[in-house]
Amino acid sequence: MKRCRTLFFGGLLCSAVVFAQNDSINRLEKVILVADSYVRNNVVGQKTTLLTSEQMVKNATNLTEIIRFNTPVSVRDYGNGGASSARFRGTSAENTAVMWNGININAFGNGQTGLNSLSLSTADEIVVKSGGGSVKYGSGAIGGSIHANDNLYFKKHQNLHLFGSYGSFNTTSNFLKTSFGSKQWAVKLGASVNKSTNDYELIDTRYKDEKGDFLTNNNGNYQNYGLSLSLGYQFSDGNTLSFYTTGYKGDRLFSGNLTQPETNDKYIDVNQRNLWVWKVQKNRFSHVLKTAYLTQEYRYFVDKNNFDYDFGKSKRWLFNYDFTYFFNQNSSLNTFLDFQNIEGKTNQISPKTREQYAFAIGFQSFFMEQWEYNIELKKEFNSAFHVPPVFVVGTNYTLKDAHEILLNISSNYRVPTLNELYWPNNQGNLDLIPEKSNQVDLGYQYKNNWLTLKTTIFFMDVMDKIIWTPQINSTSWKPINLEESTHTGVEFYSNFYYSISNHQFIEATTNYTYTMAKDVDTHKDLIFVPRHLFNSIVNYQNGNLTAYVQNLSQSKVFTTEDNLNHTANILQGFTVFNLGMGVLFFQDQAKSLHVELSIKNMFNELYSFSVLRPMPGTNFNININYKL
Amino acid sequence: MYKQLIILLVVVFSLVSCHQDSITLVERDYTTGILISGEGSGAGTGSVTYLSSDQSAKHQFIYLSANGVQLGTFLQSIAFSEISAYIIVDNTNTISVVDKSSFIKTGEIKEDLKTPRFMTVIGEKGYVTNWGDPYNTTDDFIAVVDLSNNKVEKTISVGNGPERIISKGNKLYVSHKGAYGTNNIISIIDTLSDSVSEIKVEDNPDELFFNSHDNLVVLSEGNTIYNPTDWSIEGHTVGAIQTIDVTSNTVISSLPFKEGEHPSLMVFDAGEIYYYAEGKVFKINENAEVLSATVLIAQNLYGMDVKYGRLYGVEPNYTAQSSFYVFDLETQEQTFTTKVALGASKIYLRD
Repeated sequence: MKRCRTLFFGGLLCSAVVFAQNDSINRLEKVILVADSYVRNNVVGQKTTLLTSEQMVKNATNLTEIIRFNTPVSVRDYGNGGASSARFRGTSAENTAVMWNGININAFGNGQTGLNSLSLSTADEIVVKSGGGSVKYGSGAIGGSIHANDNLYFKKHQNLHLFGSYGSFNTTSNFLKTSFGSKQWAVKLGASVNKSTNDYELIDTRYKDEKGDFLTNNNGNYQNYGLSLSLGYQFSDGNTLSFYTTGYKGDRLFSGNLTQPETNDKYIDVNQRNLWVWKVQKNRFSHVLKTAYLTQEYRYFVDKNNFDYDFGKSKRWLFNYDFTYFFNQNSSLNTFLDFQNIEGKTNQISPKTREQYAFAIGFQSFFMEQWEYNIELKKEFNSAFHVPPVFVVGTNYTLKDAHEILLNISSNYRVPTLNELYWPNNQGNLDLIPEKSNQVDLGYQYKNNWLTLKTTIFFMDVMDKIIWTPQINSTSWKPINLEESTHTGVEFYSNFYYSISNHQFIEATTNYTYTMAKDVDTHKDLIFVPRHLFNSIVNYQNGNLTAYVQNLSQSKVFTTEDNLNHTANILQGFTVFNLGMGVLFFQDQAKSLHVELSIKNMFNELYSFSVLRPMPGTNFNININYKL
Repeated sequence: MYKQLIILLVVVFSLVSCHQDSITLVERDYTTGILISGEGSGAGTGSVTYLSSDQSAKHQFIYLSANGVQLGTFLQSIAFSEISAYIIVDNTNTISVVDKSSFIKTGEIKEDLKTPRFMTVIGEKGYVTNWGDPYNTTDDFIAVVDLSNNKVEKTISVGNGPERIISKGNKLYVSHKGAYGTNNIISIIDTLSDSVSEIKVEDNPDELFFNSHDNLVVLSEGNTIYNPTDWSIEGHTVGAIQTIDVTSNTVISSLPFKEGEHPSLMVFDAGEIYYYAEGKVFKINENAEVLSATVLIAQNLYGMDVKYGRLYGVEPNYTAQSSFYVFDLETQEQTFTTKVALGASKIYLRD
C-alpha cells in the first residue's frame, strides 16, 4: 500500500487492491460507509469495473465521455453534449440501470438515464457492472448497471479536492469536493459547474457553407450545476445514520446535424434526490432501513426564444428494509422488502401513479474457502401489470490464489414506462407487459501484483422487447411487445502496471467488447451496436512529469434494421486518440497539485455516434487538479 | 519511452481504424422512369430512389450519388418544372434545386421558408405551401419563389396548415389539412391579384386534382377527436370525396365515408378515382354518386399513383428500407416489389 501514496497514477491498481480486500465483509465498512455496498461486496460471478476519481478527471467534460473511454459500455448520443444513453452488450438504453447510492434513478417517463443530464463528477467512485443479474436494482438492469457512490469516512480526516479545466469551445468543467469527519461524524460536500459554448467545427469536408468553410455546431451550448451533501452519524460501531441529498440543473441547447445546422431546441433538466439510510449491524444481524424521495423534471422548448415548452415530471417515494443474518463468517441469508410509489405526468399525460412492492431473498455462502456462491430470488407486485419472478445464481471459484472462475445465471426484466403506457393521441399501449431476459455469464479472472485480467463470455436472450411500431394506415406509432433478440459476446479487461524505477512507472488499462446482437426473427444485427468496441489508456510517470494516451475504437454500426450497407445508413468505424501531459508540482501523502494539458482527438478523426452528427475535431484543454 | 509507445499504439490502432469513405459521384439520366421519395428518420436522412420504367434498373440515394452529400430529414415532397426538380425538406426549411434529369444540384431555396410542404410551378414562379410554426395557426403562408434566382419574392398569408397545392390558369388551389391541428378549407388564390378566397369542405382535406369536367375533386380525411385527459377516442368527423365547381366555388357532390373510416390517399387516372382507406384501395368513376364497396387491392400504403393500368404503391418503414409494389389493375395481382428509400412516401411517375 505504500506505493499508492508515492505514485500519483497508481490509483487504479491500489483501488483494485482495496476492492479485493472488501471481499472480506465489513471489516473496512466500519470506517467507510458505502450506501450501495452490495455492488462492491456481494456481486458474485460477475465482472465489475471500478472507476476512481483519478480516471474520471481524464474525461471530465461529461459522464458520456467517462463511460465511453473507460468502460465496456457503448454510448449513443445525439452530438457532443446532446441526449446520450449507455447500452451494455447491445441492449437498449432502457436496459441500463443507473444507480445513485444504490437507488435506481432511471426516469419514469422514458425509462432511461441521460448521461448528459446528470453530473457524477463529485462521486467517489463509479462501479460498472456488466450484465444483469441482481435482484437489488429493480427494473431495467437487463444489460448491466452503472453505480455512482458517495462514500462517508468515520475517522478523523479533512480532505479537499478541487478540479478545474478550461479548453476549446469555451468548455469548462469544475468541481469541488470536500469531506471531513470524526469517529462519530462524517460530512461530504460536492459542487460541480460545467459549461461550454460547444460551437465546434463539424469537420466533414463534404458539408461546407457557401464560403467553403466548415459548418459549426451552432446550437450546442450547455451549462449545468450540481450540488450534493452527504452526512453520516455513527451512534456506535456498526450503527450509523446517513443522509444523502443532491440537486442538479442542466440547461442545454440541442444542436442540429450536417444537413440541418440551424436549430432552436432547448432542454432543461432539474433533478433532486434525497436518501436516508439507517444501518445497524450487531452480532449476527444486519438491518438496513432506507427511504428516498426523488423528483425529476424536464422542459423541452421547440424554440429557445419562445416561452412555450413541453414538460415531464415525476416524483418517487421509496422504502426499503434489508435484513441479513450471518450464520457464520462464511454464510449469510439476506431478505429485503421494497415499496415504491411513483407519480408522473407530462403536459399531455394526466398524472399517473404506480405502486410497486417487491420481496427478495438471497443466500450467500462459501462451500470451501475458495468456492463462493449465492442464490437470490425476487418477486415484484406492480399496480400496473404482472411482473415475473426473477432469480440469480452466481458463483466464484478460486483455482489458485491468482485465478478465479466466475459463473452467473440470471433472469431480469424491464417494466413499461409512463410514455409507453400513456403516450397521447391513443398511442400509448396499456396491454404492454415487461421485457424479460435470461442471461449466462461465464468469467475468468487473473490477478497478480502487476497484472489484472478479466474475461467474460456472455449470452443473453431478451424477449417481449417493447418497440415503437408505426400503425397501419396512420402516421401514429404505438409501442408493442414485439421483438426478441440474442446477445452473445466477450468482454475483456486488462490492467498492467510496471514500475520501471523508483520514480518511473507505466500503467495500461484496456477494455475490449465483442458483441453480436441479433434479432431472432430477421437474423440481422441490432442497430447502433458495434461488433468491436475497444478503449485503452496508458499512463506514464517519470518523477514530476506525467503523460497519458487514451484511445477509443468502435467498428462500423448499421442504422437500419435491414442492415443496409450503404454510406447513408451506417456509421463508419473510427479510432480516436487523446493525449495528455502534466506536471506534478507536489505530492505528499494524499496532497497533490497536478496541472495537465490535454489534446483531444489528436489526429482530427471524423467520427460520430449518430447519423450526420460529427464529434469535435482536435481540441485542447488544460486542467488543474488540487488535493489537500 | 512513451514516444515509442504512442507510435506503437498508432500502428496498432490504424489497423482497426476505418476511414470515412468518400462517395464517387455518378452522373446518370433519370429523365424517364419512377422516382420514389423517402422522408427519412433517425436511421438516415431523406432520400430518393430511382426505378426505370420497366423496373429492371434501380438506383438508391440518387441525390447522394449525384452530389456527394445527403438531403435533410424529412423529405416532404418533390415538385418539377421544365428543367428542374425541387426537393422540399420541411424540417430543414430548405428546397434543394436539382437538374431534373441528372439530379445534380443547381441551387437552393433557403430564405423565408418555414416548414415547407408542397410546391407547384406556374411559368417562372414557384408557389410553396408553408406551415410556419406547426403549432401556430395564424402564421401559415404561400411563398412565391422567383425560379430564376431561387429567392422568395413575396408571401401570401393563408389559413392554418396549407398542404397540397395545384394550379389551373392563374389560380392556385390549396388544401388545408391543418398542420398539427385540423382545418376544413380549400384556399383559392388569384396569382394576379394575390386575393385569397376559401371554400369549406369536410375536415382535413389533403389530395386534390381536376377531373375531366374541370371540376376540383378533394379528398378530406376526416378528423379523430381525442379525449384530452386520457387520449381515448371520443369521436370522429367524417371523411369525404367532394367535387367543387370552381366557376361558382360551390361543392356540387359529396361522397362521405363511414364514421371512423379515414381515407388518406387519392389519385386520378383516365376518368377513374382511386382512393385508399384503412389498408384497402377502391376505385370509383369520377361521376359516381356513391363510394365503392368492392376492395380493389388490399395492401397498406402511404403513397400511391396509377398509370397505364398499373397501380404503384409504397409501404413505408422508418427503421429499414421501405417496400414498393406494382399491381396490375386488371388482374389486381401484385406484379413487382422491391426495397426503396427509408420512410418512402411519394411516387413520381415520369414519362
